[in-house]
Amino acid sequence: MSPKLMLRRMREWPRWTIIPIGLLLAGFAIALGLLLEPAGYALSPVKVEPTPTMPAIAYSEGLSGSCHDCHFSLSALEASAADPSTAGAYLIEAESIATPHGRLGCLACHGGDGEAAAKEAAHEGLVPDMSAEKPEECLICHEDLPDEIPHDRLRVPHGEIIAHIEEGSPCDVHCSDCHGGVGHGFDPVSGETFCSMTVCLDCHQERNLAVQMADCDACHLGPHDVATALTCNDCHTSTETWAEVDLRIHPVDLPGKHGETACFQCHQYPDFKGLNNVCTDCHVSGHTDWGDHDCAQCHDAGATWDMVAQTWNEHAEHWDQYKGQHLKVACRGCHFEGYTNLDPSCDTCHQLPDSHEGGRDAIDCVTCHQADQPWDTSAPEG
Amino acid sequence: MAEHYWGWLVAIYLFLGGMGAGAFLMASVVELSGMRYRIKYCPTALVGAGVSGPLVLIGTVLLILDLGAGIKEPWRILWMFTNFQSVMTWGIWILTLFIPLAFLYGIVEVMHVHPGILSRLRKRLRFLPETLPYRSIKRVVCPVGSVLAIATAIYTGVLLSVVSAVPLWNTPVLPALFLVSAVSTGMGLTFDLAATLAVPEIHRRYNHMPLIHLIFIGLEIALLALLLILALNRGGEAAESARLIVLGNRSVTFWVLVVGFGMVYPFMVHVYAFARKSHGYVSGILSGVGIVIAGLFVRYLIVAAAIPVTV
Repeated sequence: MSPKLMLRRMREWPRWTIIPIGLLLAGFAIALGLLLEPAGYALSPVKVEPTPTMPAIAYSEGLSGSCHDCHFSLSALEASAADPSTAGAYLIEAESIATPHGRLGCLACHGGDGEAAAKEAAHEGLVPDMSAEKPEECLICHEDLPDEIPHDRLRVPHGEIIAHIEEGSPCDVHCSDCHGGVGHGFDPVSGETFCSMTVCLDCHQERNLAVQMADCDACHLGPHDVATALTCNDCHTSTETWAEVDLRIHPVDLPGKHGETACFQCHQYPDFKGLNNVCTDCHVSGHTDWGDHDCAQCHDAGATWDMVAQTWNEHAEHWDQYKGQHLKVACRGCHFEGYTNLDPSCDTCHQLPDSHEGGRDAIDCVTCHQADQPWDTSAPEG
Repeated sequence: MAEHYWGWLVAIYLFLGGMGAGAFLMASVVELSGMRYRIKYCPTALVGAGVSGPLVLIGTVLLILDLGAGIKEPWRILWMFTNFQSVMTWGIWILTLFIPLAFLYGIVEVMHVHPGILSRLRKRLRFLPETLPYRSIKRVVCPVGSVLAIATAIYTGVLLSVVSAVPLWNTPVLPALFLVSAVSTGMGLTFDLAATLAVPEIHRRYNHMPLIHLIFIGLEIALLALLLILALNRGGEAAESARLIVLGNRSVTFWVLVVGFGMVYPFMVHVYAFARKSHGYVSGILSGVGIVIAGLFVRYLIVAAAIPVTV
């Protein structure tokens, strides 16, 4: 069939078929490209090679084959180790080459010859820790690292370390001191694993740094708005969990259950201020017709909400019978319809007993009885 | 041989992303300008609308496969949606918005060309109307999608140009080159290839199209030359990268496939087509293939010739 006839036949197909044909043409171009590129490479008359540089070698996962052969296999390591019992220390999880650093290939950081089969040849020129021996090569990618990591609330001396490296006088703190084997499954940035706090503290201690460098604030950035005035250990008492705090430094007393409450039940994270130090910052009043923001005027922080504080005298000013057995009655016992305009007549709550039948019902109880005395001791003569 | 950051998968993604965006732009132009309605059947609109979504989607899947985490822990990609300091986050948002819109355009265009599809759907889905306002839908989808298509095409260049460790890439010329190349490959696929195959006489109706294509091929040549000349002048790794492309191991691919077959030949075909108001089957199809292959290889060579800075 001639090409022209084929084209004519094609034009009789449903119109939508031009879409898969278009996709096939795109695929054909890619396939053609994949075939032609090696041919073009092979036919190239001029073999200009780039200057061999560490990164140029580095971005070649494929050049690390013999590294993988041994370091991914415990048996291979044991077979080649002088002391097989130590071989496990050199075992690397095969999955680690899928991490960003792992994908650079072993040679990127460790040098050597990743295509040599013999152990000695493969390890020639080996760099166990690139960040210690050639720290400037870490800066090819990591030239601009932050001094603070807000997400983790951490303070780190990146700027200082980088400045030393750039000046050509690397200090004795290396990337690997904190970031360990970033190419071997350790990924502090994603948080898959984390750098233990003792790594920092031990290092600070070994270097005889100022005593303040052993404080929490040396590395941790306090998230609270009191962090400029207080250090972490002014309040926090645990190195395991921030939740354990010593409340003695709290600017206002925290009586009763307040002392048992977690900080952020009252304070909005991360700020500690912003509260008016009044009860209604946190509590919702159970009554709207009485009282203001200061619940403590009537209620005792150490007691139940159902009762008013023993120390509250004002209630007696409103009602002189607030004494005796009345002190044991819950608020709602009398104030069942609100807190104001309560009729002080005794018969609001009390019923006239049978013994009073005969005309005494019109007399107010308090004429004869007092709330802090038993009913019978106040019975009038006659 | 220069070892590089990224390989074929990324080059193909950059190519498919660019060509998909370019195809969408072409279809939108013929739709919004009314050119689509001047002839009974416009393969440019149908192919442009139909392939843009699948091409960009396939490219994106390749990109995800190229990321180690894309295979092992694909959910980690979701984290990238919120890191607005990263160019990749812009790209993810652009692609997330563009891909469904491109698919929608493709579906609407196919239904517009084949009204029987809606009738068949109505037999099962009775709530569907007898007809749809296809042109009105496309009047919304095309302008919005075109903005996203331009963003997609530019983004494929920005993705490389922000890598400061590779001097060849680290230039604003690259996003401009990728945008122009995207439009050019989109035209190559939807007009030179598809239109020549389906309705050759379309060239006589759209007689100014060769001139537009000439301008884009010319711009692509100029921007590619600018990228390489600037790199050669900068010296160091940038010049080494450029030398790899122009004189080194990639030179045959560059001069034969990109410059010769992908730029000079289509340029000549379009000069002829502009003068004669048409071009032949073979020259039209070969010109389209050349432009598309050049679009792929421009990206591949730029990716493959990356030489990072040394300290």
